Amino acid sequence: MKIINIFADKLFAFKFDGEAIDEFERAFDLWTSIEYLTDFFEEHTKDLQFGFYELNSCDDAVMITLEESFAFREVILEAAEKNNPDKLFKNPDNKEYRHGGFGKKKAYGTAYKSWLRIYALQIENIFLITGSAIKLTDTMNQRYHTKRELIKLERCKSFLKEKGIWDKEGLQEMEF
Amino acid sequence: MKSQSTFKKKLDNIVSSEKSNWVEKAEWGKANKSWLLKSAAIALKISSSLKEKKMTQADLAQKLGSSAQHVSKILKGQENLTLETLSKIEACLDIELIQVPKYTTPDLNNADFVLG
Repeated sequence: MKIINIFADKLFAFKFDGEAIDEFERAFDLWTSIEYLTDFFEEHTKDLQFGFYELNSCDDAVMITLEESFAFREVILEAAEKNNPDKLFKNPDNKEYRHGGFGKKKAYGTAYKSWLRIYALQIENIFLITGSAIKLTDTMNQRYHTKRELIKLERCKSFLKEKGIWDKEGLQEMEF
Repeated sequence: MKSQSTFKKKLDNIVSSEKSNWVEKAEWGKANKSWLLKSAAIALKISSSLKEKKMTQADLAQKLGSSAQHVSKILKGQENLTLETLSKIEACLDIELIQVPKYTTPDLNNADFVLG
């Protein structure tokens, strides 16, 4: 496992063994890949139709994700230019988080509530990205791909602990 | 709580020298956003037409007289398509991919001049 600097000496991302790219780059590669998005929404059609979003068309979901990931990326680029990633992250309800789910859904930039999530650990004013997901359900434990993100968060925390830089008080779990 | 310098020092010691391509990719995406989104919408429409007609990417490549790699790139929404290619795909699949506002030619009979 490696830690890679993304920008500004404030935003970092984990790169897991066996992966060609870091988790931040990977998130946006997936969110701008039509093949990946089509497969993902076809696999999660029921969550799309009967869940929070009530969307019937996979193609619509793909286009929404693409447009939102472009917009999302531009906001992050702007933060990079201003050397200020702090405002990108919102604090989830940590109590709920510890019990396996996010109570809040974060809106992002459009009329839709965003289903794009970037997960990070915060220590002081530094953010370490551990992964990402398209979250269509209320809690992360409900689906394998979001549950896996919780496991990744724990692995990253353990890694930091092994390296002696894990601080129980200073460490926070964040989402965009 | 540890001071930032202590933590930062420890972090700096374990940060990899590898560089992320995120910023470069994001800047490229921003500069090319307009056609990339159009290309994606076109890719989805072609994909859906192929499914409907039970055709494969290879079938389309053959019909277009193009390579499988080229069709794959089109279906990934990563191809900056030419009007020629778009028109060929429209003809092969019998679908409309782009619309251009109808051009109305001026009525020369109403011209207020007379050729000498």
